[in-house]
Amino acid sequence: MLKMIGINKVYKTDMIETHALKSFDLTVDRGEFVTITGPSGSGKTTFLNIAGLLEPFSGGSYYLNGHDMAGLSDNQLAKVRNEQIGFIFQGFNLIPDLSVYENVEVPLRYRGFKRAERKERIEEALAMVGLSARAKHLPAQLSGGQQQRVAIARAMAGRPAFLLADEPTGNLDSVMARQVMDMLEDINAKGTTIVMVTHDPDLARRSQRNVHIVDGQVSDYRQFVAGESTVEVENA
Amino acid sequence: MLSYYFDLAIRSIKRTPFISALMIAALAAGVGMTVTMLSVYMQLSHDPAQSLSKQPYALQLQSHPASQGGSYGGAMRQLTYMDANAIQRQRNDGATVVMFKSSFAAISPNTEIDPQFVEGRVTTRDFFELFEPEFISGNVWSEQVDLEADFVAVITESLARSLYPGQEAVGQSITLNISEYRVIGVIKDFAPQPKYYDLNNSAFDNGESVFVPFSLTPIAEISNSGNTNGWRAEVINSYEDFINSEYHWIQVWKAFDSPSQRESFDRWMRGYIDEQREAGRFPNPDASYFLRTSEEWLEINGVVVDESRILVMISALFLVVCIINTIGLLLGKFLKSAPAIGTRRALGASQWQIFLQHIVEVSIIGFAGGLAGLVMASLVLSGLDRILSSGMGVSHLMLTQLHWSMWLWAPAIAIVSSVAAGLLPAWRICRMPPSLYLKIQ
Amino acid sequence: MQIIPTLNTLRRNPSTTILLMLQAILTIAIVANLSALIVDRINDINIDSGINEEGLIVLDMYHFAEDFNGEMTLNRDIESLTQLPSISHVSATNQVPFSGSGSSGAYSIQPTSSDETTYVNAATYRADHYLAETLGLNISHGRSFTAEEVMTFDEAAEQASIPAVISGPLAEEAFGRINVVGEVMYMPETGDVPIEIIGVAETFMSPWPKWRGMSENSIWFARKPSNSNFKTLAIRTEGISYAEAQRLISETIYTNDRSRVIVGFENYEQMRDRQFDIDHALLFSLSLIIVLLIGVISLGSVGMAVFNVERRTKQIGTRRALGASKRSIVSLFCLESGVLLGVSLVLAVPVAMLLNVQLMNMISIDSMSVVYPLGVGLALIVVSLIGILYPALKASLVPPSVATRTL
Ligand SMILES: Nc1ncnc2c1ncn2[C@@H]1O[C@H](COP(=O)(O)OP(=O)(O)OP(=O)(O)O)[C@@H](O)[C@H]1O
Ligand SMILES: [Mg+2]
Repeated sequence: MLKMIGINKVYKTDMIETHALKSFDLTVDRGEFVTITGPSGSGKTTFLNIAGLLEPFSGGSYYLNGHDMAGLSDNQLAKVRNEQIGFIFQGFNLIPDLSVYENVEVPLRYRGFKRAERKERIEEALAMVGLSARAKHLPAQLSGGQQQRVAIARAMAGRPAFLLADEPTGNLDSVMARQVMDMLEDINAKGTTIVMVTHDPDLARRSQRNVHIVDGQVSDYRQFVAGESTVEVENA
Repeated sequence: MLSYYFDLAIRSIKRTPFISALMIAALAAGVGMTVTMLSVYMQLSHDPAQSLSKQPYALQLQSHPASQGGSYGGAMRQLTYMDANAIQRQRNDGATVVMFKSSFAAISPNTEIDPQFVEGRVTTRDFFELFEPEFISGNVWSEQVDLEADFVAVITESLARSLYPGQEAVGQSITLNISEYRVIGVIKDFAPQPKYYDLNNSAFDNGESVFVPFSLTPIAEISNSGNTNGWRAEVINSYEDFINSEYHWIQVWKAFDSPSQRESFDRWMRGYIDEQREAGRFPNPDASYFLRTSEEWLEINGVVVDESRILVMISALFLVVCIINTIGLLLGKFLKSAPAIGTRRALGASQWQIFLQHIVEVSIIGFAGGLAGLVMASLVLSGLDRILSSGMGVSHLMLTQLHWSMWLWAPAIAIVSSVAAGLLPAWRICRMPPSLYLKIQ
Repeated sequence: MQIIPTLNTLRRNPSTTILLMLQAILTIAIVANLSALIVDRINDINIDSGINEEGLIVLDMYHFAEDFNGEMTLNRDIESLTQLPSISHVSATNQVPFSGSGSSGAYSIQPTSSDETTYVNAATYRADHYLAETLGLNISHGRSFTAEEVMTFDEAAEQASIPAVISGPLAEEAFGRINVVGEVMYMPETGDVPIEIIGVAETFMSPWPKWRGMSENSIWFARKPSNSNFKTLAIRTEGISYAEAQRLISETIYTNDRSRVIVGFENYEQMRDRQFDIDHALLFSLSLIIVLLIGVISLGSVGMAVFNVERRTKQIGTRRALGASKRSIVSLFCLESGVLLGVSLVLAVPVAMLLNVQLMNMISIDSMSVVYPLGVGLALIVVSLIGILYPALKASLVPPSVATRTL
């Protein structure tokens, strides 16, 4: 499903060059729920941005669904993001002027769906996150947890094969965090591949696989099997 | 998709009402002033002769010493009576208009109507053929009258109405000063703006309301109320002295039906000049004549005042400042919405789609600004009208009406300016790396 | 003290900085040039005609009778008009200063028969001896005319010399000094007959305020009215409304002789304004542009400053949290725009002068003094700093907690 080989990412600023990812290798299979952990500044978000085609990478190759993502035009990248990838952010990133309904509508608009199809999908997505009653509200009128659920509905409305989440629970209390996590597990169970960055070891443990990044490189994989303790699979 | 952008744009405009109003006002001010000044310029540089069926040529004769005057393209604006009359008598080659302005007291046979002061034109029959005033009734005098004078007159509709209320004017008598004339034709009021056929006193006025044959000049001793210019002092004791003097006071226009006619006229003119020079009348050894198209004539006479050119330039500069100001505001506004745009990009909007979304917003603002600009232009023009028409003694100047071409220019200027203003901000925002604005700041 | 962070902020937002500077430079250049142009035109409009304009009425008539006798009719008019209690003086003249139309001629200080004669152009007034009193003309040297000196053209040509009153600038141009009473001039019309200058009016404008080389030059001959159809009377009224004067005067004129039409009846101010219509239109347009420009720029700058502040709310909150005082936040913003405007002013001066050169190519104006861009620039800086105060004060009110709360 997702395959990165030897990806490099260098940020150049006035004075220094930061190697955010160094010959980074990772494969995620269809249907997997992978969590990414690592110390601050290790390159987790960078990885997610590249995986989500929000940033170009400077070396290596990246295959998504078997297609090479190098050298795609902006239009093609936008199409892939729109149709195959869903995003969830730590800051929810709802557009403040748009109602809940309209926020969920955004990716569908760019996809060019007709009004009826949009309506159907939006209602389905909102029902899934249990916010059908809030369709007309503005983001500011919702709690943090509700906002994140809208964000999930928005990410899922386009029925992507692939969901990327950057600390989706980072701004939520533990009850809310668990709710969101339950929801993601549900989504995964229905077949969507999920890659989630988190700082919370408990949450990480609930995923099928955890990838630990240190200094822009995968330091180790852990496979979790339900009910059992950590099994170290491989040392990088 | 466009309707989606439209919807987003309207929301965005409503979200920042003050800034949006400011941008619309800035564009309106810039576009309004530019359109105003451009309109005045267009009216000034308008050439009414363009719509005539024949191209008329103003004739200038460079006969006096080169050192004395001649600031109108190397010659004087007008001709002497002697030369004009000679040209008018040689009438084989095309239409010939020979004329000057005069003033009269026009007196109706109805003694209850007060005498009124009117501007008149003493001219040849071809005036009506060449400059095409529209006849309502009657007709112009015959060719014969241009050779053998007769006391006939063509008057305008308004004069006819005030001298003969409720009556047919053709056939009536009209007393101009002390001579009695017969009205043989009535034309619609005739005042082309600018008055290209005689630019001596003012390029913009209400025109003349009575037209009488040039052949009457020496007989009725009609005095000139236009300009009289001279290049040497002469003692004038009688009207005869005046028309035989070297004073320049007659306007001459020509039009030709064919190039051969023009060649033939050219041969005659050169022969005439040689003859006069040999007779010692033309002191200039290089004496020559010029035929000016109406366009050249307006240019030579400086109808477009320098002030108008300056105002076009300054208003365009002002528009540039308004555009820069709008760019700054748009940039600030768009950059503020960068996080939302980052989110849209992550959700699958391409750069082009983001660009379009913002261009649509800018175009709406530009459109509103352009419309407001047109309204403003007509207000400013009516202000100018009040100032200028009192000065020029004209009730309503064409000059200060919105030139028809402005209905094309104004939206074009507004849209080009707003797109110019929006291009940079829209480009900047669509080129922004989305990841940068997705982070928690 | 805050200059380095200020410069960094400006450097980090190059497009905003460049836009603000461009805007300031163009504004200074435009407003400076327009102000110079406005001052120039106001001076033109307010030019001294040399006469007492208040209460002066100019009457134009057109005579159409066959047996019209100009001298007789006008003498009767003058006599009956001056008998009216509200009219003190009346003069029959061919033109008045700034009337816009009239006669002019060429004059010389040498007899004109010679080929090398050089000429000075001057407006030629032909009027009776009442002209000076009626117009309120100040004859600064010599004297005005006596009744006996008023003649027809033919009578004058037979005299040994023709008396004349001239304007100061004409004297200056012809003789190089003002007091030329007793000197003689010549004109081509009368050949070698000398014109004897009996008086000089320091200021005595021609009918054409804009005719370079002619506007200030006038010569006045005492002449009886000719038989030309057009006649002009200058009438000095006192303590009477315009409408009342119009009624009284036309009544008198028409009672004296019905074979004429009053073509023009104007207050002097009205007539004078007419000569400057294009200047008035230009002033109107330029002032409008200046007002709009200042409006657009000041509101626009406030708008931009508001964005600027909003964009940096969190940064400001952080500064506040770290102990920056409200005053230092305000001064941060003021310093920022101060530096920006200061640099713009330095750049604006040459740009303004360039624009001035461009204008000088298009219209006859003197070159602009550098005081204009400097003055306008300084005014813009002061106004802008006042304008920045509102958003800056608003910014200083940002609570330090914003730093920890805002997402
Ligand atoms: N736009 C950028 N310009 C320059 N350097 C950057 C940029 N974005 C990230 N970096 C640098 O790249 C490195 C990786 O950053 P990244 O955001 O991926 O870390 P992270 O693992 O997500 O950290 P955290 O857990 O704190 O979110 C860091 O050293 C960071 O300073
Ligand atoms: Mg991160």
